Amino acid sequence: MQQGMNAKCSRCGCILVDNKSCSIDHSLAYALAAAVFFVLANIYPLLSFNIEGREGTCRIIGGAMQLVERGYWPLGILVLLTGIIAPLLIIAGLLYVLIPVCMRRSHPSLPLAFRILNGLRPWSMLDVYLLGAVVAFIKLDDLSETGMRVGFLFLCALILCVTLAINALDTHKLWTHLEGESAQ
Amino acid sequence: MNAVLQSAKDAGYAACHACNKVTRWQAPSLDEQSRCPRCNSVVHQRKPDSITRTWAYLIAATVLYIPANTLPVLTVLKFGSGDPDTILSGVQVLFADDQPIIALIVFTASFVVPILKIVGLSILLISIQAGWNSKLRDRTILFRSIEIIGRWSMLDVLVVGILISLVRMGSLASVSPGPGATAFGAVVVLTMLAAHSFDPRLMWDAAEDS
Repeated sequence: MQQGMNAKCSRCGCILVDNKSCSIDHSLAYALAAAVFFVLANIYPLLSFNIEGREGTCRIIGGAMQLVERGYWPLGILVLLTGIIAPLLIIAGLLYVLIPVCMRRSHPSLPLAFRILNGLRPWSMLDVYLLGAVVAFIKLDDLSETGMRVGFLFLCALILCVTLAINALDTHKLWTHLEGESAQ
Repeated sequence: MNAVLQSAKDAGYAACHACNKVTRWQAPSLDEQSRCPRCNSVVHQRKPDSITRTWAYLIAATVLYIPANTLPVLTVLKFGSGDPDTILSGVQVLFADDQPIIALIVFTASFVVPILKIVGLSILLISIQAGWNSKLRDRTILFRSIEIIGRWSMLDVLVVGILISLVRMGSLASVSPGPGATAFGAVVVLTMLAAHSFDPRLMWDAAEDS
């Protein structure tokens, strides 16, 4: 199959194999950027809320911790999983798999790591979280003064980099590569 | 149906659920499951007990959908006053505040999407069990759409998380979560698991058999 072409299921039309060019280098570059933005998006507050001279801010971890503290621990764990743990493991997994592949090294744990990161993809909900932050911002705006903080921008950048890293990756090519390495 | 197209299952092959590698299918023995030579996950020709598992998740989601919509998901208090909001009354508040676009987004993500998922997957399951053989492609596209949009119904849970950590000014203003939020989170997780355990190839198998 030529580069830039894809193969579709003859029955339902779903894309089976997408032959992308320089997919691993690009994906690794985006994953490295995503790692940086992940740290920044988790350090800096996303939104601020002012009322009568008092200000509150929130970070991603804050919502999860507040839910746990108020006895809503299943929801707290869900927010923690979808907002922090799943994205973190996906970025870490991409780096763990792509760095050795780029350096032409191999390790028996790579297929397992790639499998786990693929399984976690639906549970990473940073994009939904971003929309949630916009909804929260608008909901509070009529109550009192609400502001977007720098963490909000870092979250946008993080979502962009993770999406690009995953979209750039040719999973079929990577699996074939991992298989070839383990066979040697 | 195109008679020339033979499915991998009929030809004696199986595709790995995790890495898509196609291998010659060997029925598992009692003490040994067949594993993918590439990624070592367990290989099945079709997802195991797909129909039963999907129904189980769907029924659980349907039951919890009732408290998710009737119980309050959050209470916004300003100067000590404020009423608990359910998902739908929260949407009404947004409409009343002249935010129709955001109100529509929340209404779609929290109310319409879960119903679409539950009804859509139920129709797909019934279509397999009844052996329908028309609109196979459309039904497969419906399944893929359900799989993709499903996660967006987590919106309200995440909004509750953001609001309660942002607004913590005691008697001035505070937001507290309500039991509806837990039920709602459970609905989202259960419908995602239902979509994950559904195997769209069963629709094509059923159409061939009928």
